[in-house]
Amino acid sequence: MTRKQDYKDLFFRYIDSVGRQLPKKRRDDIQEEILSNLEDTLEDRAQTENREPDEEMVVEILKEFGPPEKLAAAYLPQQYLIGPRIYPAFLMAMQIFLVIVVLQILVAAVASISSSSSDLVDIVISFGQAIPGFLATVYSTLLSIILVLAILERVLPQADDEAKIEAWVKVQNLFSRFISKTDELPASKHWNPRVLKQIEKENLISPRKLVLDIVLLFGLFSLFNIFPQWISALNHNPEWGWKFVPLLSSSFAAAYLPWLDLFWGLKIGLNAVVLRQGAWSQLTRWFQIGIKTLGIMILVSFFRGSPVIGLNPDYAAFHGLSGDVQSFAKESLLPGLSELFRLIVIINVVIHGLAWLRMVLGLTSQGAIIPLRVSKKG
Amino acid sequence: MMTEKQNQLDSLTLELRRGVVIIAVLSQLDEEQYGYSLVKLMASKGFEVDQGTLYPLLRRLEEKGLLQSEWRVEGSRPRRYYVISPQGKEILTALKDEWDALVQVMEGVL
Repeated sequence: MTRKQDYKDLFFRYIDSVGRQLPKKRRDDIQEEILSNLEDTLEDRAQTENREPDEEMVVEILKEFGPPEKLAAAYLPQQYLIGPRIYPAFLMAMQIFLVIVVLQILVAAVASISSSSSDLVDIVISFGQAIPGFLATVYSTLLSIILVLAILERVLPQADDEAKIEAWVKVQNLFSRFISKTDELPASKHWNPRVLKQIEKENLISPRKLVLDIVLLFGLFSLFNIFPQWISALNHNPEWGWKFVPLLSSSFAAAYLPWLDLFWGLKIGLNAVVLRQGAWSQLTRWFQIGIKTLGIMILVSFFRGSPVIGLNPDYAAFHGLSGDVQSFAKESLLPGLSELFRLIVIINVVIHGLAWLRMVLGLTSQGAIIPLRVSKKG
Repeated sequence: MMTEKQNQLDSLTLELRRGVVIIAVLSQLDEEQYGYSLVKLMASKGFEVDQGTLYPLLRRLEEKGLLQSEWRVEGSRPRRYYVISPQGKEILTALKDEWDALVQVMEGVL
């Protein structure tokens, strides 16, 4: 190949690179036009600069034309994996997916609790062992969602097909009405401002309530850690009169107190942060859900683990309970209270579980949370 | 700092020019031009346009029916010649009116 042919070879390599990224139907025609323009440019440049065309000149011209992928992209319509039209549907799918994932976590947690032994640590370990399989499911589901939406992006009508676009957006709006509390997705130019979502009042805070919560939590912390013997039932018997019967079992402090301390500590911390910020934010709401999850797990462990209610000899001695009182407590009073406690725990698990679900659904269906300032009732 | 400022200016200038390149191109195609001759013609009138921008634009305008084209062999080389279509002429007239109105508005704004 001669020197002259050498540098022109760069032109052919360039248009070959461009052509590989073009649809077959238009490729030859575009390549021929680009080559024609390249040669015109080279000829004119050589004349203007009064020198023979060479490789330097060719490289300069190709740089002016731009990288092959950029030039090829300019001949094609803008392409997205998931474009602006499909993105709201993608977000909606992710919200639903997230809720399902969280529900699966809960189900896995309940399953591990019911299949494992009494200790909360064992429960957490058992739950942790389910995580790899769970992550694999999450990953493949996520990929499926992206694949389906990417296909939709390609088969949907183009931007200039207004009628089909309107129909598509109306379908989206209909779907979102059943799933999410978000604004109805606007059907291009015919959207209705009256259906815009109200600003959520739940993000307002009551500082008084938060401070009270913090004080109560500190109180609980102090009571259970410093004065556990005073968590007792006041019992009357004609034989020995009024007696405080301590309720917390011997195993309570080791099995549950550290978790309760963690729970209360996190709640205090969260309340303090929210108080300082003046409003709930997306992040603090998620923390709230996380703490609630921990609380529910602790409640469930009360039900499944070592007994919470029982006679602690040290506490009994503190209250000066005689042998008769202790026997009575062990055989009659405390078992009954223990059953009542288990019933209360079950009810609380259901109530808090539903509240948790409502929080998760509410948070995943919301748009951006507008941080509102402190409420006037304060 | 200066480089950042210059980059910002370059980017915004590009946005500004992008808005007028179509009307500029249509206005120069009353007579047939091929790709490179159009580049030179516009450059001679002070409107520099990237070849990598212009050639795809000519195709897009043709797809929209604003231009017509045909291949012709002149000398040693085949060239694709473009000329404004009747529909393109109507659009150009309307765009020129829009441009005049915009220029008046901007004179008031700036």
